[in-house]
Amino acid sequence: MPEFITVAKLADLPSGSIKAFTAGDFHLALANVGGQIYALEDVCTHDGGPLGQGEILDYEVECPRHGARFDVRTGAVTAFPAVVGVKTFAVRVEGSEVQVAIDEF
Amino acid sequence: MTQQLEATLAFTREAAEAIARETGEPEWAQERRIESWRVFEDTPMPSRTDEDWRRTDISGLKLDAFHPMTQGEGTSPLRATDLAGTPTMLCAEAREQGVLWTTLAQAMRSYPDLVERYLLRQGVLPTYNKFAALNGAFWQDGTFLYVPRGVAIKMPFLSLRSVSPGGASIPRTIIVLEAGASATYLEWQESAGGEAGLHCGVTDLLLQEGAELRYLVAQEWGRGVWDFSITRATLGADSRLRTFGIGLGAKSSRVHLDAILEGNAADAVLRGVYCGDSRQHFEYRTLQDHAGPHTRSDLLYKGALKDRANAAYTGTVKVEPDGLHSSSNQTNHNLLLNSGAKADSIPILEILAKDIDRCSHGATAGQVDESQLFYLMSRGLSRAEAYELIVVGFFESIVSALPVPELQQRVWESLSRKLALHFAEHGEGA
Repeated sequence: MPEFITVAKLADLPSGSIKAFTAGDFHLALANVGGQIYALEDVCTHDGGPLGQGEILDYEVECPRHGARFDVRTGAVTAFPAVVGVKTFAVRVEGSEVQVAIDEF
Repeated sequence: MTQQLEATLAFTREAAEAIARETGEPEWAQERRIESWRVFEDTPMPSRTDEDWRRTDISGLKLDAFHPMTQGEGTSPLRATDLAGTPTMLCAEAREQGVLWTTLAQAMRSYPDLVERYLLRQGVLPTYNKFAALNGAFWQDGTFLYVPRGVAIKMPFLSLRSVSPGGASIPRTIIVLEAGASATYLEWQESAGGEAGLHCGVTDLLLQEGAELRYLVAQEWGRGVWDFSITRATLGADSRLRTFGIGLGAKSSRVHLDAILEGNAADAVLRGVYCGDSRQHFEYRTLQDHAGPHTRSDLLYKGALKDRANAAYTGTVKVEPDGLHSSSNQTNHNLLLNSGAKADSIPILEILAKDIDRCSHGATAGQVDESQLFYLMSRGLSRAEAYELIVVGFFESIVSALPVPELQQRVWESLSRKLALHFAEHGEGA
């Protein structure tokens, strides 16, 4: 299991929001849905759009570029034009810090 | 030996002026540097919201972290080669025929009138993009090759480029072939290790009437290097250009290649090979601009990607109103060796001429065909052997056509190294 590294402060992620953060070379989108934090790769599998700038709808994030949707819990694609799911990462909250385990592949 | 510039002077006006002083440039060259610096300052850093940069994410590139290298750090074009048999020194025969091949700085001092015609006035201008402006302002290591009218040089000219950890290699290459001249030029770019580095190279290729140039560039940069390369070729009437681009290394490599076919019956054949693994990123942006009549161009770029590597190819074929009876083709093939790899191929055709012979394009992206694997295995090959054969066959048509045999061997060795583990993963029982 890769190490958890601090990526954001909990205060940066109000409920119902999604934002982009970087961890080394990785671009992550962290979403807060009902107080639970989820981490996905910040790249839409359809056309590389920035999921971190998308909109949260229930448990889905909608890519701002062409409207593809993904389940933030599993990364599974839920709406076209994407057809491939997006990578997700394990997340934990330690105090006020949001930590993500980055596994390269 | 020049001193390395202070890191605090990197990419500032002071740094550009310091480079000009160290190079001993004439006033016109200094002015052009400062012009470029102004464009560099005024041009915002590209981002993923810019249409042209949506597939190359450079948000992790911090220009302030790099400092320009100096000429003394192993980037001279006249260094000894490890590509056996390919000399780097200008041979006596070529010198006697008036060929000039030297560093750009030396050429500016020795042949200022000649260099002034070309440097930052023809070829790539600083307004091309942010990195062209960076190169225009901060170029240090450069090469000038000038082949006079009617002179044909068979032995390839070789240039080696490197970058030290944390350094920035910013070379400017100008190659001018007068009418009827002929030459082969090979540039090998490499660095060791995985430390961060920056390469921002610009090459101007100018072929006058009837000239022939074979231009090869192969990069095997270390895994921490950000690679930006821009090449612009202008072809006169009846001239012929053959280019080969090999992309194997770097963290992120963005390569522009523009072929402007101005003269009647100019001819360009553009070939490229790239191979990515891990999380490497390659972007190729090519332009085949048929400005003149009866011009011909043919482009074929092939890439193999594994792990989570990704590539984006954007090719534009433009046929201008005077490009009557032109013929062009653009093809991009991508082999995806596992499900995490990705390739985007975006062909663009812009046809403004009323009567052309051909303007075609094609693109593919797919995995190794299981039926081909089965066929080879039915002939007694293991799955790994069959896989390797298919991938080698994928690259064969381009790599075997490289006009420098030593480069062919070197490229096959690099490809084998990059793909060997993958072949092993596809062995029996996998």
